Amino acid sequence: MNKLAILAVDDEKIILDSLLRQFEINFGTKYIFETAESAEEAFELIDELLDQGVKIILIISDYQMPGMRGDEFAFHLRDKLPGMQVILLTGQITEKLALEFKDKNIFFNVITKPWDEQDLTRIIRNILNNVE
Amino acid sequence: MEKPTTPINEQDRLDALDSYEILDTAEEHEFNDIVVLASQICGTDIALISLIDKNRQWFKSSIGLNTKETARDISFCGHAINIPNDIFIVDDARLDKRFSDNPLVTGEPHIVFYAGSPLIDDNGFALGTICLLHPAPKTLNENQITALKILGRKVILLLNNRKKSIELIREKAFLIESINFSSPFFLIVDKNNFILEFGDNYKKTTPEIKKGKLFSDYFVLESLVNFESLLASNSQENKLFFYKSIDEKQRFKCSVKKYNKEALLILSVPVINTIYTIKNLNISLNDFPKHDYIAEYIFLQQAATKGLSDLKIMNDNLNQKNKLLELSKSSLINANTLLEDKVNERTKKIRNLALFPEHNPNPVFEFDYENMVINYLNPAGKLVFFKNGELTSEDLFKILSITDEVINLKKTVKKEIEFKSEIYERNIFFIQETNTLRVYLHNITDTKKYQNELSKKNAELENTLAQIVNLQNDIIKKEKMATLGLLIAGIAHEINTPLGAIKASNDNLIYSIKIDLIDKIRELDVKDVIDSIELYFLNKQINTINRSSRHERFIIKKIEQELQLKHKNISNTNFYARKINELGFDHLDSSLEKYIKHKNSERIFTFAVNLLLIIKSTNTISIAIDKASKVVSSLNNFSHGNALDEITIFNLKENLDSVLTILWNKIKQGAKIINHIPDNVFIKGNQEELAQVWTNIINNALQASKNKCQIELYYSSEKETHIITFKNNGPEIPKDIINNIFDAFFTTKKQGEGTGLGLNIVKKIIEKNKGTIECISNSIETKFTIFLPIHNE
Repeated sequence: MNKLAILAVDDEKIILDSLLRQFEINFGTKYIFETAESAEEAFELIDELLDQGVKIILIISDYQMPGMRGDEFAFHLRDKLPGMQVILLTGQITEKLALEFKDKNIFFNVITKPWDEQDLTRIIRNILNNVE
Repeated sequence: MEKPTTPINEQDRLDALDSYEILDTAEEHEFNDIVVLASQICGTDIALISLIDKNRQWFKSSIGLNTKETARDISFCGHAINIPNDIFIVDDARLDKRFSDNPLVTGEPHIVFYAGSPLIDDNGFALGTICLLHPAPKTLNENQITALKILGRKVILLLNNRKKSIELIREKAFLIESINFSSPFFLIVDKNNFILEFGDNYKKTTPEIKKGKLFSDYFVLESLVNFESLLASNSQENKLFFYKSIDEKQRFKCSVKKYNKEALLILSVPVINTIYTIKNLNISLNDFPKHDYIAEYIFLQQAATKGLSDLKIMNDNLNQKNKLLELSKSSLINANTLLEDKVNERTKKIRNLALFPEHNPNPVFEFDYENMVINYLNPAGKLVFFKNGELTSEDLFKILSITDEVINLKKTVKKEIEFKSEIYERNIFFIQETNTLRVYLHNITDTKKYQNELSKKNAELENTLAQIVNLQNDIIKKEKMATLGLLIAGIAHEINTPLGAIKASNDNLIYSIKIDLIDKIRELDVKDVIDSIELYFLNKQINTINRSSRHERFIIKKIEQELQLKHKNISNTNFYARKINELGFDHLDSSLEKYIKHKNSERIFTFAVNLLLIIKSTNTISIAIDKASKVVSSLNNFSHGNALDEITIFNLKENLDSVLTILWNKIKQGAKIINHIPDNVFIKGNQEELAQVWTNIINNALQASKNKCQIELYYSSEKETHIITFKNNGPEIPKDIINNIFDAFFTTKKQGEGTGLGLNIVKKIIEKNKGTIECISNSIETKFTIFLPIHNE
C-alpha cells in the first residue's frame, strides 16, 4: 500500500472535524486523512502509519496546544519525515512569532484561524501536486 | 500505794505499741485461747493479756474479769513491764505495802495473788503483760512459770503475725486500688531488680515475663535509675521515668512508689507514638487513653515543672534587664555631666573673646564716634586689613559700611560685607563703659560657599525626585499595558478558535445543502432517497459527541475489520467504516446490512451522513457562538468605559469565570483549575478592579509554574467578611522575600521582564475595597487569602 497521508493536529475537535470535512469534499478518498488531538497522539499515529507503509506528506498543525507546541512538533518531525511539508494553523499570529520562525530558518505555511476554505484547499493542492 | 515508774524509753515504747494497732480492737479468739490456757495451767481465776498505754492498761483478752481497762497508776502490770526479763510475782498483795491500799486490792476484783510475764517485742520494748490474778494466795511451780513465759512469747508471736497480716492486707488493697485506677501494666521489683509481681498486660511481651526474672531481662531503662537507691531514699517524691522493651517494640512511661521496705511498685503506661510536648500546654486530656490517671498526673506534674521553670527564666530576664537599665542610667548621668562641663567651657570661651578681643581670631574694631575714628583693636583686624597698606578711618567707614543710621541706632546691627573677595558678617555692639561701638567681623566666606553648594544639591535632588516619580508613573502605565496585552492575547485566541469552527461549519453546511443534497437528489430515485432518510434515522449521533480522535480511529479500524470479514466483495471498507462511525455506531450493527448490500449503497451512505452533517454543523456553530459570546461578555468584566470607581454588587463566580476564560489559553497548556466557589455569592465592590486582582494572582501562579500547576479556589465567610482563597501547588515563595512581595517595584523577574507592580496593585485594589490580603507559602502549597467586608459601606 503506497498511500499518501495528511495529518491534522489540533486540541479542538471542532477544528479537526471541519478540516476532515473540507478535505473529503475537496480531495475525496484519494489520500488518507488522519487527525490527532495532541502532538503526543500524533507521534503515535505517525509510527502506526509508517508501519503500514504509508507516506506522510503534509502536516496541518495548530500552534498553541497543551503539551508540545505546533512548531516544536514540526521541528521534531523534520528528520523522521523527510520531504514533509507543514501548514501551521493559528489563532494568533504575532510579529514576534513571525520573526522567530525567520530566525530559525523554518519555512512554514502559516494560516490564521478562521481560515478560508479555498485558500487552504489551494495550498494543499499545490503541495500534493509537487509531491507527485 | 506505789505508782509504777515510767520506763526511760517510754515514748519509743508507746510508738512500738502503736505500730501494732492493737489497742481498742475487738476480741480475737487466738488471744482468748491463750488466757484460757494460762488460767487453767496456773489455776487462777483471772488471766489477762494487758497492754500498757500512756495512762491506762487495756485488756486484749481476759477471762474472769469484766472490765476492759483500768488506770495505769493502779495497775500491777505497770510495775511488771519495768522488769522485762523476768516474771513479776506478788504473793499476797494485802501484805505488800506497794499494793495494800490499791483499790483493786481493797475493792473489786480483790486481788491477792499476781503473776505477770512482760510481753517484749522484737526490738526489746515491753508492750504489756500476760498476767494472772487470784483472790487468794498462791504459789506457782517451775512448770507453771515456764508455761506462762511460753504463753507470753506466743502472744508476741500472735501480735507480730497479726501486724504482718494487716500490712499484707493493706498492700493488697493498695495494689488493687492502684490497678483499678491505672493501666494493667504494673510491676513489683525488689532492690536487686527481681520481678516479684507483674500485671496481666505484660503477658503480651516477648519473651514472656516470669516472676523471679530480672527487670533487665525484659526492659531497658532510659534514665539513670537505681532501684536500690530508690528504696533506700526516704523522699515521698514519685519518680517518673521511661523504659522500653528489649525488642524495642514497646515503650513505657511510669511512676514508681515504694511498695514496702523491700520492693518498689512500678505503674506504667504504654507510650504510643505520641511525644507529649508541653511547649504550648495545649494538649487536651483526650490525647490520653481512658482512665489514665497516672499519665494525667505525669502530664500535670511536667506542666507544673515547666511552668515554674518558665517563670524562673522570665524572672532572670527581668533581672538582667533591670541591670542594663541601671547601667544606662548611670552612663546617662555621666554624659549629662560632661555636657554641662562642655557648655560651661564654651560660655567661658565666648566671654573671653568678648572681654579680650586680642584673642579673637576675627577682626574687631572700635568705633569712637565722638571723635569719628575707627581703631583696630586686635591683630586679626590688622592682618586682614593691613596687607595692602594701612587704611584710613574714612576707608574703613566705607568698607565696614558704618552709616549714620548705624551710629545713631547704638544697637547691634548685622550686615554682610565683602572685602577682598572674602565675605564677612559684621556685628556691631554698643559698649557703655567706653561709650564706643565695637565692630566684630566674622569671616563667613566658606560658610556661604557651603550654603550655596547645599542649595544646588537640594535643587538637584528635587530634580531627581521628580524624575523618579515620572519613572514610576511610566512603570505603572507599563504594568497596565502588560495586563492589557495579556488580556488581548487571550481574547484574540479565544475568539478566533470558535470563529474558525463557525466558518468551517458554515462552509460545510453550504456545501452539504447545495451540492450533496440538492444536486445529488437528482441522481437518486425516490426510493433511494427514502432509503437514505431511513438510514439517517438509524443514527446514534448522541454517542459521538465526546469521542476523541483516538477512540474514533479505534472504532473505524474495528468496523473495517468486521466489514472485511463479512463483506469480502467490498474494496473500500475504509469509506464505509468511516461513514458508519459518523452515524454513531461503534460496531457493524445488523440494522446496517440492508444498506450495505443496497444497489447504490455508497450514495445512500453519503446522503444519510450528509443529512446528519447538516445537523452537526448547526450544532457546532451554535456551540462556537456560545463560546465566542462568553469571551466577549468576559471582556465586559474588564472594562466598563469611564466608570472607574464604580461600586456594584456582582456575582463572584461569574467574575472569576470571566477571568478563567480569558486565561484559558494559558491554563490549557497543562494547568488544572479546581473551582469550589459557590454560585450564590455576591460581592459589593469594584468589579473590574477585583477581576484584575484574580487575573494577577492566577497569572502569577501560572507563570511561576510554567502553566503546569494546580490551582484551587475556595470561598467561605466569617462574621461580616468574605474569605476568598487561591491555593496552588507551584514553587514555594522563599521565606526571605515573602514579606516583600506586596512592595512596589519588588520583583524576582529579570530586568525588563516584570514591573514588580502586579501584587502591589493587587494590594492597593484590595485596600481600596476595604479588604486585606495575606500570603502563606511552603514547599507543598502557596496560598493567597483575600478578606473583603460583606457590607462595604
